[in-house]
Amino acid sequence: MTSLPTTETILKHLKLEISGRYCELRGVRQIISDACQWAGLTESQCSQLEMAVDEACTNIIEHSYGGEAAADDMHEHTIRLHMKHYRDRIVVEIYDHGSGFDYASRTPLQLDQWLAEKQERGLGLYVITHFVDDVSYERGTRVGNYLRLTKRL
Amino acid sequence: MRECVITREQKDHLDILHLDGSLDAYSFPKLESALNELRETKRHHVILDCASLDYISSAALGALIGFARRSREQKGDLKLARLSPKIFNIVELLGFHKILDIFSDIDQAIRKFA
Repeated sequence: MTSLPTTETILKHLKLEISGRYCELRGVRQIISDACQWAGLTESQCSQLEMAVDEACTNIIEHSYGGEAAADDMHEHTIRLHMKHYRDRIVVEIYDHGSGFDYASRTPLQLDQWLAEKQERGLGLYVITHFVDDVSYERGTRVGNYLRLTKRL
Repeated sequence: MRECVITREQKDHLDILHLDGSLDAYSFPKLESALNELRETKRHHVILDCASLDYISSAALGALIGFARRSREQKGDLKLARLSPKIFNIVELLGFHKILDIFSDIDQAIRKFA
């Protein structure tokens, strides 16, 4: 007898490794968007997850790796992505080997305050937390810095 | 998804920037440079034609909000026109439609400047 998929059964698992360069972002977005469509997400859900992943990778290149110029032939910066489609959610796990972030001590951005302070940068995490249902982050694990984005279906 | 091309069109005191492709971290310096050029030449009445824009990052949105704010201080503005449903949805979900003036076509945006 074939068992029915549970909420912990991975229906599709996509693995991707890119170099920590901004020119890679377009390809990542395309792959995430295609996979979201395949998983049956709405157009709006697809573009939200696509943007959340783009912002996460951008933050890794800019902050964890100190910019793409910091990479050289001897120290190639890589970002590994795993996208897992469960029956009730999509989980994107992103690994890097940069310096990481102090995620726990961040202050969530308040848009009104951000505008009042005439800021222009720092919207990345605001976008990520707005567009996914759960964000978790572990710095310096055995397999690198680990970011997990969960979008419920 | 294509690399971003920005074309500038001048109409009297107005500048229209036609955006074609994706505005992400890779193409962000192009947007920054176009906005800096407008600022340095004191061109504060700007319309962004987003008809062919297929992606916009938070950094690009932040730069547009900053440019709009500074232009308003100079009695000008930056207005967005012809956003695709996808881009409009993103802008709206993030709450930026309350900050940036958005129009369905360029003529409407031009009339608002009159």
